[in-house]
Amino acid sequence: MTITSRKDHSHREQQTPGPIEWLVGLVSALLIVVLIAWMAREAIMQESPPPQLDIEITGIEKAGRYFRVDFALANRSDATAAAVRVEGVLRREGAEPERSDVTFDYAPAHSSTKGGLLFEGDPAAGTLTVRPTGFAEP
Amino acid sequence: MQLSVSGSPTQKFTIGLLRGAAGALIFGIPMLMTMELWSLGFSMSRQRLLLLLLVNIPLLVVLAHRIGFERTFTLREAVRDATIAYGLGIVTSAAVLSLLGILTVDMPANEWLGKVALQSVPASIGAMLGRSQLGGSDPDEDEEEDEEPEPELSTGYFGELFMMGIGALFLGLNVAPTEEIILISYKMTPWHSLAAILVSIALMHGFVYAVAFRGTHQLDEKTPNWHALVRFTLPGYVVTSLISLYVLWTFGRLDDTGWTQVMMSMVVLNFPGAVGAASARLVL
Repeated sequence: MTITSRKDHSHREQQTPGPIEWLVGLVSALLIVVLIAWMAREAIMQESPPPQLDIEITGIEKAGRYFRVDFALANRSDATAAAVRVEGVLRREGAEPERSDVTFDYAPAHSSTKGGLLFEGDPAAGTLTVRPTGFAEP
Repeated sequence: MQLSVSGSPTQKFTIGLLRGAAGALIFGIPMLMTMELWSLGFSMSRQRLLLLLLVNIPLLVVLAHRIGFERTFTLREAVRDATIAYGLGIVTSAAVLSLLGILTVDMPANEWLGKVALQSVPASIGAMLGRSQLGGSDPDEDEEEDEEPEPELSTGYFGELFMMGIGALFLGLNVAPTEEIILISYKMTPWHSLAAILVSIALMHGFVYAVAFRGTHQLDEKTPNWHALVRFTLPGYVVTSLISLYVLWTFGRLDDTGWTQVMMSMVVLNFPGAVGAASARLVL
């Protein structure tokens, strides 16, 4: 319990805290120790390898005039990549390859980020390749 | 002409309203002028926005009960004050966003609603704080206080943790939507975040117990310092962490993100959050 005096606006903690206060305090201390231990483990184990990027196409759908290719950009490394450019190339017989690209601000470590590419031609009618083409350190 | 606070009840109430609007401006402007919050207003998940708007209601009611527009004693009065603060937050947000040309007539209603709704949360907390922090004390009341000293107000333990939560939420809403929080968590190594955890906890404890601000908490001489650390500061840090996670989740910063990255973002946001939590204990 805390006692607040309205007059001088100061507070005085009561000297006999209830058991609930100690319980909450103890649980909190435990959680913080876990958090610190986690970070310490990361700090010691981490070797900061370069980002390892991977693309998984999750769906192809006609959206209005265009075909939308949905994909997830995964980063399986401990390092975050910034300004990741992803390029899709659609090759169809008898036509110029169609390219479209998108830039992700970040691909966080051990995380996946969703995005989409738009094509005029139907990706099902040709061969589609989607790959990351470059990144920068944040 | 100088406005006197000791006028008729209507005049008092009007001045209270103006102070609330001033508070909404002072506390709301940093967010009203943050680009990310404009786009979040229409891009963020509607379910999470709704949840934030609903969470704000009990929060304002409890806050009103403690510091409100007028000293509130009943639940009804607290609800009334909370409603006024929320209303002021909405009006102020809409007015400022229109003034700055961020809300225009050709925008769909959905965008208007989203932008104003998101901004109204911090602005309404600001309105509530404005009334309490900007309001000078009445000359009449001071006299009364001299005559009969008020009994010391006892704050429940969980009330204290609640106040820390409000402080953390307020600063969290300020900085969490910005790109910088995410960028910082990418730039920091785990060593940095370890240091950030310890510094945040030290700041929280120091703000409340060591630095002699107005409203500083005192400990009895017999009570060892670590008692307050375990009972107040560490739980305060955990409350701050939960608020940080909630705010980050609300703005979609945790979606599809690895656990270590989640913890890193949380630790980054806990730094301003801890300062907010500690100052809430002093100010409120």
